[in-house]
Amino acid sequence: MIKKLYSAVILLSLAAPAMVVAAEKAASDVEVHGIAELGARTVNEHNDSALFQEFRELEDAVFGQVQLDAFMGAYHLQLDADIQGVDDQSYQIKGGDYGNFKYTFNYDEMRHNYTFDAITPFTGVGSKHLVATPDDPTTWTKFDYEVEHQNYGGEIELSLHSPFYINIGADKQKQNDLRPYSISGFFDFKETPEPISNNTDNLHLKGGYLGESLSASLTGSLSSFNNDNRYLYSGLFTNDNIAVLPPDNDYNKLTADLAWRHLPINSVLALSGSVAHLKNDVKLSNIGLSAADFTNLNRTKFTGDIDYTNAAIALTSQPLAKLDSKIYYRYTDKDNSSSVIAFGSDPADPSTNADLLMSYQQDDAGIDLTYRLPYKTKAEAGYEYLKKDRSSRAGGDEVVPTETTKDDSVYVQLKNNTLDWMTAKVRYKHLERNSDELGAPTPFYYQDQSQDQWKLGFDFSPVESVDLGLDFTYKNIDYDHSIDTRQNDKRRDVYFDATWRATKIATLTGFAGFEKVDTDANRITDSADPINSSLTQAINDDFWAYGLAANVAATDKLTFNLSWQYQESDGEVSFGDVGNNVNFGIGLPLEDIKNSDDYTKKQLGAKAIYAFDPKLKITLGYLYEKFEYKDINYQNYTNVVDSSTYYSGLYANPNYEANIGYLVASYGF
Amino acid sequence: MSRFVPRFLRWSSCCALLLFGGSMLGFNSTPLARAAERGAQCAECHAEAVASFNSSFHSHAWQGENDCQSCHGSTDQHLNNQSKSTIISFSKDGGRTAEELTHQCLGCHAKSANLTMWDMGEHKKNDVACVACHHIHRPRSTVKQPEVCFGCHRDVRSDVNKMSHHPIIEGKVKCSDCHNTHGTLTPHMINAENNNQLCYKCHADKRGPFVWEHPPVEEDCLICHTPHGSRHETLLVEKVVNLCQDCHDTSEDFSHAARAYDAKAGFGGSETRPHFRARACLECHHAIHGSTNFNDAQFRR
Repeated sequence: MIKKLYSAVILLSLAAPAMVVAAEKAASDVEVHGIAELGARTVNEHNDSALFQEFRELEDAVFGQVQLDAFMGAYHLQLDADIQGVDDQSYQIKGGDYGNFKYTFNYDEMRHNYTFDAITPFTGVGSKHLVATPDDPTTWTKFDYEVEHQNYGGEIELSLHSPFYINIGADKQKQNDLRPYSISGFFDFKETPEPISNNTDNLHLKGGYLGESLSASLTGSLSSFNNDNRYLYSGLFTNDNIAVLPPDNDYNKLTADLAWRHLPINSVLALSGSVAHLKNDVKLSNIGLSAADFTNLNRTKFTGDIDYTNAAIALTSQPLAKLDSKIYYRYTDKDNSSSVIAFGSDPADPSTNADLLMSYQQDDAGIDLTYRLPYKTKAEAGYEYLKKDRSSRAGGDEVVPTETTKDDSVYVQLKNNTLDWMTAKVRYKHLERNSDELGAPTPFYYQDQSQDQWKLGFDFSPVESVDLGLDFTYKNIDYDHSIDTRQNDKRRDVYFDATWRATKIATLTGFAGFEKVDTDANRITDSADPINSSLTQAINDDFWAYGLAANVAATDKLTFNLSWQYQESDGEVSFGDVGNNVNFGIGLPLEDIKNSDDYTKKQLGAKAIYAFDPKLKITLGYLYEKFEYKDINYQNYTNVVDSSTYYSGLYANPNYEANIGYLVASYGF
Repeated sequence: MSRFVPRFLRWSSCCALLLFGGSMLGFNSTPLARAAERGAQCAECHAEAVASFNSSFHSHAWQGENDCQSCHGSTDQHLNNQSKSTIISFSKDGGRTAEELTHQCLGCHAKSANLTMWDMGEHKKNDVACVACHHIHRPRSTVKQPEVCFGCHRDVRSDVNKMSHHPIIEGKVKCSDCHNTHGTLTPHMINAENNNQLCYKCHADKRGPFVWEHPPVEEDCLICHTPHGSRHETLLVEKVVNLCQDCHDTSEDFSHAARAYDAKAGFGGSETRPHFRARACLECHHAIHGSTNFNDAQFRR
């Protein structure tokens, strides 16, 4: 059904402009201008690194771009085409007549490359039936982890110079090929690719009213996800032959929005509400299993059934000439009524009762106040209260409340731009989270926490030719009552950028950034005595980057551009004194980790642009990129660890050093 | 190449149909010259600005119904005193507040569907005028993303260049795919009711419903992931083992989840079990976003 509607919308997108403008009168001049580029590049990269081409197709190729704008009276049409490679293309056509109609029609394609030249001990890669081969990696199947994404769709909006409008649109997202997966036994596994072949079809219909004081709309949308591969059969592990892949689902939503302006004391009231339903059905026979695989199975079909309800209201006002205010309330409800699957002889066993189906309700209310002080200074302050009640289905159909957290947060901010050439901002925020689940064991995100955050920001132009910007953030989170897990999280970020228009012909730009994250956690070493057996773990992650670029117009026709970027990531994990805690099954002493997601990336770019005339120019460019990665998890990597644990090479060697040369001709018309 | 050519031809045909079909059917012509006449006086001093405006999207959309004064205000004072203070100047040193400049645009655009929630948004609150992002005198007023956004959001610019990132700098994901910069009722001006509903727009395979749910996944994708970029694999906020142990460091998971993994636990170390190698926890607990295998309490298949 969605496919048919989708086709209809696409045809309508194409036909509607012609139909509408047919009603218009005489022909007129057509004004067309744009840019067309055609180029060729050569790429030298020896390691066949997928990271180098993670989201871009960088191979020897001819490539091109077209940007076209056409105006015919009040009607306009825009075309953008970007063709970087066979599987790296995008096209968009937009057009319309302001206040009358508009449409968009787009196609986008890219390949997400994870790892090239991986190997797996299975044959049948890409199918849902894998067959294991011997342990010798030289006989394994070679393949690339990569997924092709194609998105296309269109929408059209008609208002016909009236305050009412209707908008209808549809799009399709397609994914194909192979994504990382593991076939897992109990303490062993074999990396292999998951066959990917799925579609998501989306359709929406929106109708609305746009008046001077009142805007309102109602939107209905449908989304359907269909996976061609329901399961993956390996025949490898006695009890775990079947790996079940993401299920189909259908999602529909109805949304209403309203904004009411020109109310007393310059107020604007906005409301939004939506109800949505997500559903699916999974039968045992769909996923390659049968009731005989279980004992005491309560049902052979899972019915997924989740309702979402959202509502939001906000009122902005100006109660005093210099005071702006905003009060808001947001409500979110997720109600999971899906089937509870249970099997096994013990109804309380969490490994045989899938009753951790989460529902939650969230209430979020707050107020923001802004007061304009003398000397172009604005003072802001606000308070927010957020309460989240979680529940599960422990005990079957019964909804059982689990954790509740309450957040209270306040902030104050001062912003000043007395000097036209400088804006300065300072902000402080404090958040206090109170949980009804204290102590151990509790996941960090609903532990009690106390959070402080400072932000400073400056943007200034001391002279006309110089622009400078600086941001600094300090954030500290203490998990006040945590015994195990995360104890403290401290982050410091600094970012700086500058532009100097040194002369009429030369511009220099630069940026620098530094991020430091220090996280302390307790790792318990004796389950019988978690308090006295904890050891401390300190995670220290540093990241910094800088870049410089120069643009020099050597002559009226010749411009040079040179750029350099460097980034470095440096992570370390260190452990505290383990004392007498020797009975936790790992070798002592603990060795600190020096390489934890460490990497460097260097980029050098150089290009010369020669303009033969205002319309035609040629660009000759060179790009150098080098990436080096070191991480404890991948050091001394090997495909075969033992006869039951095999690695495919996934993410194992992302390093690359690449040289790219290109020539581009650009013509403006 | 064989796949590329039909695709290109299809799109060329669509474009030709719209362009050629439109010109054959005929379009309304209203005299742009009227605006040009009214702008002629301005052009005596601001020839370049008037010329650029005449080729702009706005100029064509208005079809002569508006002129320079529609945005820049009355020129009566300005003709006698050429100071920027005697006119509504949109330049940096024009002396006007963001609110004043935005007011000029909202005179026409307040009724636009995508500006319905402008008053609720962070950009209005933080004095971001329309012209901070849109260039009115250019043929296209479309914002060049992500460069324009990075002008203020320096932290995001840093993130999207990290090892793991959404394809933002590659141009495949735009800021406006996830954020409505013109205002919403949601935090961070996202284009959905909450983070999960936003992520599901592209990651519908994570939408479920699942037989076995992983609670943080259902609650908020951002408990484990960061949206713009990360120095860790797959946009995770921490390295896999450390992130997992921030919840699974308890006596009930003591068998292997709670152990401290040190430098000996990698491929070359003296530890024999594979929990800290390569993708670590995810090598076995692969279906971490949820599973519909009836027998998969530990997200292993």
